[in-house]
Amino acid sequence: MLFEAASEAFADAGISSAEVDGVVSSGFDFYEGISITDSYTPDQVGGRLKFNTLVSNDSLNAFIHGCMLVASGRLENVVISAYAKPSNIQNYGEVVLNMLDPHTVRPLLPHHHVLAALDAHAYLIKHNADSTLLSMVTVKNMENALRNPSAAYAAKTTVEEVEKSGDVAEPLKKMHIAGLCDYAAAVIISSNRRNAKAVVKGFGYAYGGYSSDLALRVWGSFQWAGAAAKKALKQSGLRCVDFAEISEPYAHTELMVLDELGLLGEPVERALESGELGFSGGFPVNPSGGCIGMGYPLNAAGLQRVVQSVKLLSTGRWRTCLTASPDGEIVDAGAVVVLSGEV
Amino acid sequence: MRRVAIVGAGMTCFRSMLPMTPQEMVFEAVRKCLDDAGLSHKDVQAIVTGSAPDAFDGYHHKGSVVVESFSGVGKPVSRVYVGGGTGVGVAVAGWWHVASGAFDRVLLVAWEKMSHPYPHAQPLFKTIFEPLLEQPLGPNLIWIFALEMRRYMEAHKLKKELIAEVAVKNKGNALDHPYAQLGARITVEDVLKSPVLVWPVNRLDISPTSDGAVALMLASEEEAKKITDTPVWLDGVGACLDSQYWTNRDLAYPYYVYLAAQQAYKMAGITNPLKEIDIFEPYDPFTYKELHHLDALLGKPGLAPRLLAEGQLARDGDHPTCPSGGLLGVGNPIAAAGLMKVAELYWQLSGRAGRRQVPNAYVGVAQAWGDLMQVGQVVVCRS
Repeated sequence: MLFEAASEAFADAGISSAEVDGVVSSGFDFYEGISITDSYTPDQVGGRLKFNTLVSNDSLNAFIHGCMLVASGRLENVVISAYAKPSNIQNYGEVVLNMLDPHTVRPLLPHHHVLAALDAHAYLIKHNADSTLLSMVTVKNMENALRNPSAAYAAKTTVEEVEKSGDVAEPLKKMHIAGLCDYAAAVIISSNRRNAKAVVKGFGYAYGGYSSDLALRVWGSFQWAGAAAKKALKQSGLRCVDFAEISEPYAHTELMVLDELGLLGEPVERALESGELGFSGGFPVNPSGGCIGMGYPLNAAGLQRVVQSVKLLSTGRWRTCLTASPDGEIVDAGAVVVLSGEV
Repeated sequence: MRRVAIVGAGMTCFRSMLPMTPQEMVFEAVRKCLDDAGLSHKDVQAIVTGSAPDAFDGYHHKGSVVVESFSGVGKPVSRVYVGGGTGVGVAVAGWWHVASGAFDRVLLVAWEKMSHPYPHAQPLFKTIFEPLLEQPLGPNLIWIFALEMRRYMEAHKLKKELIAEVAVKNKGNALDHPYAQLGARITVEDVLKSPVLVWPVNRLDISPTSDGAVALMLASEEEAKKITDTPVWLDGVGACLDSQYWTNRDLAYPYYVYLAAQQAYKMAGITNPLKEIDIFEPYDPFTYKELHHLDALLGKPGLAPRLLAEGQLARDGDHPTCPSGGLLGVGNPIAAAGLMKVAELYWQLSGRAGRRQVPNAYVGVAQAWGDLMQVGQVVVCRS
């Protein structure tokens, strides 16, 4: 999978693997079922005997590390790689459970959907809304995905269908949760704009209120998103962008991130209801279909968003975008990158 | 390219079963580091953490476990790892945070809690091997290092008696390290008479399993001058990863370490490392590894054993190597061990190494190695 993604990236950039100076990958041991998973990163992306590191966060964080490496002047061409193979994972819920404190939380065996439901519930209470708000996100993203040949979960659906898709953990319905997908992505960052498809205008990442015992977690909000977006937008010199790509393992994730970005001139729920966030709206969110439309590729979700953002910018329909990705389903941490299609 | 300085360091004791949680270890190392730099948590703009296999702690996403220990909430925090190379790799990653202009003050933290796995960490290392071809053979690290050691001995016609001198030297050096786990006055005979684990590896050829944490503070040139009068400059960084197919290469020479060193030397303007570098801190989880890695840092296969035989690698020799006591003496909490080596350069080059102080030390190199015998991470520091 990675070889195919890297080959496509090299062809797209018009360079050969020999011109790669370094590789920054994103990975987690427990997802791979292998310890020190960085060992397995170089061969398939042209990284053998080259500068290399692995970032054990969402791949958008790894992307930012690559940006810093290039900005330092140390390397010219850096490949950012990430992949996910959840079809190899027998019990994904158990893997996620292992990120929680083994004494205070893990013995309770909380499924991550249940913890996510706490977020969704808190968010909906805060906004005086019900689960149909989440269903509108699902409808929007699955429909957007119909335009995307890479999407695994594209569909024309309705709020009613989503509401009837089955309860998972109140208020989450089955279709509020992005389906897992196998996926690989490789993105080449270069200081040379010769074949550039997009320009990185700014980046930011932050930890919010999260601890493994969940004691610091403020349900229903992402403290990381505001801090990361503020830094990224300031660095970019932009006050607004044309669209956003946000990794959303759950429908409410998209809304929680949007809440903190401060890019909308009206409350998020009103913008969603009015169609402002749709593909043809004033501020499209996840025009690619997002993770709900494309599938959730674990830590590769951030790079999935970058790839989609670049592809959407290259259509010429939009000029700038904000890409955001949280560090997993329930961690209050994540990264933001601002991209411009004007190279 | 912005110049990057080390302006503070702190560490815990390295012990086989340190009665502290990972959070407590990280807290102590960070507190000592910030105290050393005269800074507070509020001065830290970003944090780079490093810890090797998640399996040691039994935590998925274990970078998130220690965030509270350094008041990381609300700040940019990320975790990097490259197996045993992680400790020096954290310093390399910290370098690009500052050199890029993204941050001016970056805290580095590396930790490992190897005493969590019961009864021993070694079975977990089986999970680093390729799951279809290698894991069914039930390999462990000592097996593959025995293969590499044997190959190295054969390539340079080395006797065990000479290689054992590395353990004697490093454990002796560690007697002067206040945080060391296995400082000892031993003899070559002690090493040779210690139990053979996998021939030719004797027990005293191997560093211990350890718990421990190390923290370092990096700053941009402008900030460094405000913080300290004795910054140590991170003037060269290098990193290189070879293929995961370790069985397909000649184990006699770690070419990937050589390439990483060459990257760092080029940045630092070093053309003759033997002549221009005053202190070497190569990664020494096994006795032969110090020589194996020093060969690559010097770019001359087989030179390190000759220097050892001539006594030149002693702390008071011409080319002091592992004056800290290295992993064999100070201990080997995987990720923390590598960052300990960078901290040693900071202490030595700023004249704060106490009884370990090497006189007239101005330039040093630290290196770590790991994964499936495939990664080299190198930094060059200058006072």
